[in-house]
Amino acid sequence: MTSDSKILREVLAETRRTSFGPDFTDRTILRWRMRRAPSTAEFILRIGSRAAAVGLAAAAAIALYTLGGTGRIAGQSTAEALLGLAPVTLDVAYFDSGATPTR
Amino acid sequence: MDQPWTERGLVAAAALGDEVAVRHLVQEHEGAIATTVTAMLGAGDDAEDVGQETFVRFLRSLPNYRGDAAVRTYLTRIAINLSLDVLARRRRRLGWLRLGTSGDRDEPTVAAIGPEEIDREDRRRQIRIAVAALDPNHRAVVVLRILEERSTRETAELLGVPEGTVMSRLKRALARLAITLEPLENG
Repeated sequence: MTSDSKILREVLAETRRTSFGPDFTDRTILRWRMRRAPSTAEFILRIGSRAAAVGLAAAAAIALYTLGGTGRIAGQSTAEALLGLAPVTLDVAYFDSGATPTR
Repeated sequence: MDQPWTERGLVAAAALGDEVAVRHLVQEHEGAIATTVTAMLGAGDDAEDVGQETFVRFLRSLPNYRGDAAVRTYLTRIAINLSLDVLARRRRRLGWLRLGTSGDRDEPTVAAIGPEEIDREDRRRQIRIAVAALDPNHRAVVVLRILEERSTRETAELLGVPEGTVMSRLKRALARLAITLEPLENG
């Protein structure tokens, strides 16, 4: 086994290198720099998530204001008020289409 | 003109993004990392990739680096983990290739030689095959303990496992190699 142990050590050492080759440092620094600078996708994602948060907050504020009653139209359902839609009644519907409502 | 950098100073400057410090760090430790990575993976693109990634990950983790281990130990730990990932990927790829061909395993390649007279070059070739067939975790222990002659404790620290695990893995790896090499020994 002694000679095999020696061969084992030699075999393990066969592929061993003491450097990665010329300009390894430059290539590594380049890679590091690229990782440090956020990519365009990351940038868009970051801006987009902030804009989405602001948009959601604004929508929630408008919805609360509308539900609060000051801006609410009589006969408007909660869903209509949240969406800022005018209440749809039979009169409005038939008036818009020019037809006469029948009962 | 070169400044006399201390390791602590280098790390602090690199953490702030000082490129000169980063360059010093890479140059100072490239040799050690190359030695370990190429022993694990062989020279080539995978080794170069792991080498670069090792330094990049280290540099990115510097804000959390507390200096509880030497920079080289920290780098070697990252390098070994990345090398293990590559070895695992290689084995998976090899497994898929085997599924497409036959169900044979690695060992018969060695055993098929038989107990006849085999010269040193043949032995070397067979041991090479046996080492290549080792489980990545076993290979890591063999590289660190036998080739790099690190202590059990140091190997355990690098691999992030208890010392007992290092000893059992080494024993199993050597047993596996001995089993695989048995026909050669008898010859």
